Amino acid sequence: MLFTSVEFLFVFLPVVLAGYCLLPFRWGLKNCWLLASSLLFYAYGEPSFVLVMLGSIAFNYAMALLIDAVRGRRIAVRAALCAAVAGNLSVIGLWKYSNFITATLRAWFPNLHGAIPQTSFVLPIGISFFTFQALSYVVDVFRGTVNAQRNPLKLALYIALFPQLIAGPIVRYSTVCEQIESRRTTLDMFTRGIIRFLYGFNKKMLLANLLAVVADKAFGMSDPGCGMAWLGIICYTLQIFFDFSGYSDMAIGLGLVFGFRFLENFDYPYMAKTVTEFWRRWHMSLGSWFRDYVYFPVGGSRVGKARLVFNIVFVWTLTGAWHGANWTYILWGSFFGVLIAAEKLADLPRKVDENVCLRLFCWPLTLFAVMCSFVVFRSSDVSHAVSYLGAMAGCGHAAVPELAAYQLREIAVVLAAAIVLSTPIWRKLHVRFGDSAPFVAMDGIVQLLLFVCGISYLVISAYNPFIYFNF
Amino acid sequence: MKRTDMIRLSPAAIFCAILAAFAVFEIPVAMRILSTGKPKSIEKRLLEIREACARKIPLRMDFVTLNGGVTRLLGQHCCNDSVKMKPGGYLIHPSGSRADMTQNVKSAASFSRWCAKRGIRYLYIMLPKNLDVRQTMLPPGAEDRAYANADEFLEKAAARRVAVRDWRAAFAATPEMVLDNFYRTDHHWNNDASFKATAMLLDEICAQCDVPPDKATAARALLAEDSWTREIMPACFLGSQGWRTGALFSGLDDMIVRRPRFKTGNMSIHIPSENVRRTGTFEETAMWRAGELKEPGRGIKEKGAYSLLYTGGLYPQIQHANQDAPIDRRVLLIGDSYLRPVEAFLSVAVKKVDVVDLRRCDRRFRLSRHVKETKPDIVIQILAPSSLTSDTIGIRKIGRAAMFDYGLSNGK
Repeated sequence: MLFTSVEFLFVFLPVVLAGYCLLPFRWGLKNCWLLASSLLFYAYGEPSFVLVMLGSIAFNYAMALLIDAVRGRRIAVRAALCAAVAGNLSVIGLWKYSNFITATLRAWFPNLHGAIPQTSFVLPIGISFFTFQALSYVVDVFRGTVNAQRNPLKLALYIALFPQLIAGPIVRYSTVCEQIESRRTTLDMFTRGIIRFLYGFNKKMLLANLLAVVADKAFGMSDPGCGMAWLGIICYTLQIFFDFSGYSDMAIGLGLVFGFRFLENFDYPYMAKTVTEFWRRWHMSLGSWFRDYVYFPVGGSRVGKARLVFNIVFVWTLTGAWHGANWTYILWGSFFGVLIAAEKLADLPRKVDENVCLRLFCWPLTLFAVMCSFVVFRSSDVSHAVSYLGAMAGCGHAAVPELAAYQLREIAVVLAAAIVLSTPIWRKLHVRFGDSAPFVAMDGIVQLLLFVCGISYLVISAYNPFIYFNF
Repeated sequence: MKRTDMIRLSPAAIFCAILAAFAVFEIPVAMRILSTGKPKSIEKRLLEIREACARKIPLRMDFVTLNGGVTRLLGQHCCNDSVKMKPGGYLIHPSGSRADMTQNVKSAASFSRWCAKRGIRYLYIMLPKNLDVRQTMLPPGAEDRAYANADEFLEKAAARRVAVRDWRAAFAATPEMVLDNFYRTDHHWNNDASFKATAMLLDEICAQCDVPPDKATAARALLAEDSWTREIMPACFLGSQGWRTGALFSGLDDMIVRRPRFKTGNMSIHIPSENVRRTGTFEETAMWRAGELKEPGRGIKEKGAYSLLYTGGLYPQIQHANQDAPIDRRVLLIGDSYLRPVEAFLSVAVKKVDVVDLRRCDRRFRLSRHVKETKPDIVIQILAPSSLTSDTIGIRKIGRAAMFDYGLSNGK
């Protein structure tokens, strides 16, 4: 179910909210209600795949208890951890990567078509998110940073909690374990949660979706021409930010409404002066997940230069692959790996922090690198990405030369608003005037008006995909 | 509690109130679908809930209008897949599907031969749509394939010796002609254009049916411009494209109302599906009385709505008769909604005008049987290019263009 759908806003959410408010916390009734709602939320999109998620929950529940039980025995506990990791990776590997792997092998070895059947698994929505959450839980239990959860319903609630179930942020068990046990939604949390939800909803409906129309048009053309290619990637760069950060805002807002405090997932990534900084600001929960559960275990940065480069490229290639089973994602991740490794070797992040001129020089370069990476990310395959980058460089001829100017006029207002809102201006206004009653009132009124406008887009069933549902 | 917290509470409370207000209407919709007894898969039920919740949302049309207003504020020219064309801000819903016309032409050719064997003439007339022939009105990047389908149909039909006429250039050769002849918020031609088309149709009937010159002259006089009054009802009509975008985006159209200056009194109309049978003057037979017919989804200023002014269109069959008409012939028109109000205007000059909209006839209806029973002097199929493809004709859902389903079995 989409947060930006009529059935979520006007059927699911009111019922869940009403039930949640009416039920007492004792006997775990609120948690049970949230769990049942979350399973229904997931089943609404993919009824049969709810079994995959329940299987994942049961498996990780058992593995965490096993790790806890054999904690004193070194080999046994490591074996249990390996089994847990292997189990989780098998789930994600089977449903997410088997089609890609078999297709690639069949393409590379055409003589083995008989031996390698082409699989055709349908990807369960949000599998990467809930599998990574589950994986982080068992690893944290292994590390002893959290205790194994004895109550399967509570673990199920952690993994299946609907605000962050499908498109993140990737919430660590340590962040919410105490809140699952005991939490209280204050009126302030509730109102802040609603306002945060409205921010996200409006970002998604009024910016991301409208920008998507131009981006999709540009990427759907065989030869968009230089102007349209640039307009398309600018729109896509803004679209993916407002789409994903909008979803994160909605998730964080709904979390607050139900008494959970999730960590932030975005921090104005397009203000980054280096690629390293970009990834500290973009999809922060994923970046920190890979840092803590992959990068540090393989040695992190406390190794030789060659190994450091390998570690970084390896981790970022995995990050790319996490987004999808396609060479474009792998290339996208590797591209960032190479850039981050180069920055690390040149000690660029520190130099940029110390030098204003370098900061001014690096900011547009970083933005350019990010936009080029999103060309690869958005393209259907590598050759599409190459031809699109070629179009940006001025190679090729536009099929409809006047299209770019027309589309720019169409999207100008939205584009200008999106560019302004991708900078921290709004946050600075909040810091400056956050305690001023007129500002708070105006903010609330504007968000509500925009919400009503957003509903109008829902009603006409306009373009409304969530990019990160695919992952 | 701080003052700002109190202020922040207000939008949150309003948000909850909005949710609750809509939930009162939407939850029963979902519950109804869940509680229906028909055995269905979970997926199907959930899909039904999704569609019904979106379709039955309260204030739907107001939200559409708001959306059009927002789109206009943002300076955009495309709203809900309807594109504003230049000049004039005419709305079009570009039809992207390019179809193979071979089967349609084959059916039309078979039917033409079948008619010829029975001494009945068959003529196919290709109408324009609200787009100039060279498509210069479309904004960059927008595509409409309807004219390409029409070109293919006409070329192949002529090759098979089907009598065809192409009227597109007569009404839409240039953007200026489109502005004169079509509604801005609707895909149909306006009543001026259909009046002009009726005169052209009359010429064809006179030529094809060997109408005596004096009768033809008398009929042409009845359909002359000065034989009719022309009244403009300003800003009273929101067409089907306008219904997708709302009046804030598209504005409203004027309606042109034409009434004969000459005396009529022996006219009749029969619409079997509506059980309507009326006799009297042109106004009493060919024009609806205000509030006489209720049509879902056509709420705005009903008195001027396109479908509520003249009879015709939207029904499987209509039969017009006029005892005073100078041309004593029976004409069968096979057409779509563009026939309104052509058939009504034509009925002042031709004694019997039968109309069939093949999309709306049920599966038992066979046009060949109808022709055998009614014995028309001429069958004229008069269609807009969008009616050439099956995807625009979802009414019978037979998987091919119902407009060419003549009910012939093995050409007999």
